[in-house]
Amino acid sequence: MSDKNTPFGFGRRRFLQGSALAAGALALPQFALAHGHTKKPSELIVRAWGGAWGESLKAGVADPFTAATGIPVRLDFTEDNEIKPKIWAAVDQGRVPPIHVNWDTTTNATISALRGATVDLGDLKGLDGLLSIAKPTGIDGWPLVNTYSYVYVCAYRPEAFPDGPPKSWRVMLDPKFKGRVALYDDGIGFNPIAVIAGGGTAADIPNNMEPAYAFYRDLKKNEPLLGEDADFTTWFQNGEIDIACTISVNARAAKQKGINVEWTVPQEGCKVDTDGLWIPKGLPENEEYWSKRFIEFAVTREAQEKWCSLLGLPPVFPGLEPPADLAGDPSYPTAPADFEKLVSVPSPILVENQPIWFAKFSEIMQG
Amino acid sequence: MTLAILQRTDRFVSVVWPSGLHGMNGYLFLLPAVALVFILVIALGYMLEFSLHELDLSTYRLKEAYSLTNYQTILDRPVYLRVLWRSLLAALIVTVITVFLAFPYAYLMVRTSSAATRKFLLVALFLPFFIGQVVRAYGWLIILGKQGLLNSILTGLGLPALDLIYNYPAVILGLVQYMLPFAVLLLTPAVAAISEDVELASESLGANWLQTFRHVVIPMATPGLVGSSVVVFTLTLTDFAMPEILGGGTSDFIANAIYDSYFQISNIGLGAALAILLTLIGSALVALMFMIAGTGTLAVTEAEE
Amino acid sequence: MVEICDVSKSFGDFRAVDDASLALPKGEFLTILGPSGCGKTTLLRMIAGFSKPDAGKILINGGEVENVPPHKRSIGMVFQRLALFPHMTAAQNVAYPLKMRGFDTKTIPDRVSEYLKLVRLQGYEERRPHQLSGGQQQRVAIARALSFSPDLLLLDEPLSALDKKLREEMQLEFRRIQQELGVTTINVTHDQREALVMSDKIIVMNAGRIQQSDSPEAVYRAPSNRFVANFVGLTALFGGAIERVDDEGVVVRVGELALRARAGEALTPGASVDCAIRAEQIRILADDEENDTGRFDNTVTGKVDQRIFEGDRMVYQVTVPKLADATLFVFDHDPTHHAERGQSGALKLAWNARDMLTFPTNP
Repeated sequence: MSDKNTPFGFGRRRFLQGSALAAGALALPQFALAHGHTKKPSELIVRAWGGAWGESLKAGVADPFTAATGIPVRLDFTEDNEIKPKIWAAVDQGRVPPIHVNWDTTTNATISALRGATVDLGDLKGLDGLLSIAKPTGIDGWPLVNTYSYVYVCAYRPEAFPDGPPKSWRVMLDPKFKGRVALYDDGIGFNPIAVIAGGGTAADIPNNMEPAYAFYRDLKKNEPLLGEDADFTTWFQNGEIDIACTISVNARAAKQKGINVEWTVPQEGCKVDTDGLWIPKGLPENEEYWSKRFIEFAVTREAQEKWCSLLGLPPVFPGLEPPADLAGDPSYPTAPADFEKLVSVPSPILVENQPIWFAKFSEIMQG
Repeated sequence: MTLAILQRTDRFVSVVWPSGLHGMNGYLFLLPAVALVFILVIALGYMLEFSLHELDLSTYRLKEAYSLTNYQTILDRPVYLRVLWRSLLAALIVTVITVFLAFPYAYLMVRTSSAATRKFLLVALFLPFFIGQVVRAYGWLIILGKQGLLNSILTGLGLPALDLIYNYPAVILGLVQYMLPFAVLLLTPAVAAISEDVELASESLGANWLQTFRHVVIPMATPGLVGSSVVVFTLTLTDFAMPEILGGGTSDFIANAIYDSYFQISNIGLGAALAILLTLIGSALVALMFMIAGTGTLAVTEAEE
Repeated sequence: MVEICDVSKSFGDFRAVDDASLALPKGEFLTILGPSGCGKTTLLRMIAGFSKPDAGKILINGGEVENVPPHKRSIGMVFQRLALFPHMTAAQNVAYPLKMRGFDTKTIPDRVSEYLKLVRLQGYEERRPHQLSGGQQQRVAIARALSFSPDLLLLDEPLSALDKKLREEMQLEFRRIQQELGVTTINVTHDQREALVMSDKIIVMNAGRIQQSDSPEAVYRAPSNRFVANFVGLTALFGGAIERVDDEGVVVRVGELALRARAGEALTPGASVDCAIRAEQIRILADDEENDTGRFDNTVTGKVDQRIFEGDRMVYQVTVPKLADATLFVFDHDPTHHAERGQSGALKLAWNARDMLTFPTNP
């Protein structure tokens, strides 16, 4: 809470009045009152992922925000990769961008920040109280706010693993699972793991990726399927696959739909990553203001608790309990010991190397 | 009031389009088409420009300097040549199969003496047009999937389930089904233009039906055959949805590679270079087809016939 | 050569050919004449083998051909719209049947030029059909149909699309070629002039049935029924009743008059008949010319309703009040009098008994 807000066109005095009220209580109506003096846009457009992802954002953040502010929130399910060039083009040409808030992977958000498409969020309230992973690394300031972390788990069909969960990712190479292994179509979430599964160590990333490529070449012989979030659920549902590397949210959603799916963290570990929210440049002043309030709201305790428990992911707001079904689950890291099993690659390294890994992955898989 | 508006409109039109130009009225209708082609050419120009700049990974913007790096990248990475080859091969296979299947269909539709048969064939032809490519691709998933219709029958009979989707043949199958109506539609006028008397004449002159087909029907249907081949070939070569949905992620075509360059790795320059390459190869092959099939196969030059 | 025995063919409820029989000796030119829809083309297509009769037999060279497909029959055919192969040159069109029928490839070029010469198309060998005139296309079609020396030539109204002058030229050309080669030919047409000019024999068809089968002269002079009389030539038809039959013929009562007519089928007094008299058999008498010499058996006076100028002649349509208002057609071949005759509105007409025919009225 500082004077940083003044550039956004409302009097310091008025802001102080508002913050004083907000300080009085954390209850939602006050949140609305606190910012009642800047013209409200007719709606906020938030780009989101569909399925379980979109539902959780709606219930955990968007609906309560609307209740508090009266501003309707519309979720735009344009693919993250497809909205990116649209925003970039709008920013470059000085047009109003097509969305207010982008819910994005930290890597992609960082790339957009490097391209100068993001608004700095350093003046948001409540950032100080969040876990350190909320702040992006390898880049100045707060071009984005990370909102939770997630794990690319090893999801499997228990019927295909009668002896218990797969212990190693190398089980993917078993001819028994020919045509029944699935990865993301660019290899995202698996690239660092493949290094370890291929005989390397985390220290090899990013300078020696050869073990990963060797693993991919072996895996290619097993004819893996490559897809997106929604594909994994469908494939498990239709019995097309036995094992997949996918974000725990998808596996949990499938399980909640009654599909027989479990997940585990094999001995090589799993990749942990974060998603965040950011605001494109070029919005009218008042819309940018309310977009910031949306992100600010998304990292409040209330929003984090609901949103992240629906997702089944560890929030960036400290001290929240995991949902009952995920207590002690390896895909829901809380203690330092949990994190030791997981592999985290710093954003700058991902930004610089992920395009290369993607290219190599597709080169091997398209062979 | 209305009259005043009409008069004003009339005056406006007469200023913008003086009566001296009324002899050109027919050409007026060409304007939208010309404009569309023009816009396409401009877009291609932009593509060419983009393709000549390398991506700067520190800013994710194209570098100022002109270079052939993107084209070099395409040549250096075997994946692109492989994907290109896969697209071309698919275009060839799909064209051959589709035209082979479409011809008897078109022929029967034109020649059948039964109104009911013709009606059925027509409905069966147009129905798929109301169902988009994506929906049809998902239809194949339902039929050919592990727990799909076909495999349910197989397993019901005590046979092992087969891997029928998420591979190259599945993409080919989906494309053939998608292209069939286009091919039939383009072949039908060509077949209808062959008078039945010509076939009877051939028979009375001593040709059996096979000889008649080979020496009379096929040569006379050449404009339709070339036209439908070109359409099926180019549509297949540039297809995105079928390899995306039925290919299981490992049977990408050029269009998928372009998409990935644009969106997955945000490399507009590389995507543009791939698009330019695809346009060049596609145009060259179509030109080649017209050259081999002879001029006037689209009945443009020999109008007096 | 060709024999057709009791052939019938129906399309649904429509009897296209009804119990037709004919026999055609080798080398003759037969024309099947009739209005459109009379079944003549259907009959021709059955001979060619494009469709099968529902009943009856077709024999070519003494053998039944029901199960012989068209390409195994030795029949050349010229189609109404010619059906030339547009993608082949004139020479290739003519060579086509030779190739398909397995002629020795060495003899084909000679044969092709022989037949192109026959139809007088030397120098046009390399032209495509669309580079030829209508008459030249006809000639290619004939050469193509004849180059393999078929036993039988079928012509399906090939001249119907040509203009009058070219049509008349091609009629003589077809006849010349046919006579030169002596090929047995069946021609189908609705054009009576074409039938009369070209044929050795004419078959008149109507509603699927053969009406008359005779030489051109016989068909013209002695039509066997009302239909033929009406279809061939310009004929006036009117009803009457037989008054008496004597050695010289019959006397028919029409309205107030009794007319003498040629003795037809055995007719009994009182029987109602249709009388037929052709336009060219009626003489126009000058107003002051009396029939007192008895040159004509029948004389009437009528009123001119219509005068149709055809250049070389005038056609009058005349109503005769005393013949129960029957309408007669008369030719006037005397150009110097065209202007004045009929101007008065009245014409005196006369004809002989041998030129007037009677047919029993259809019940």
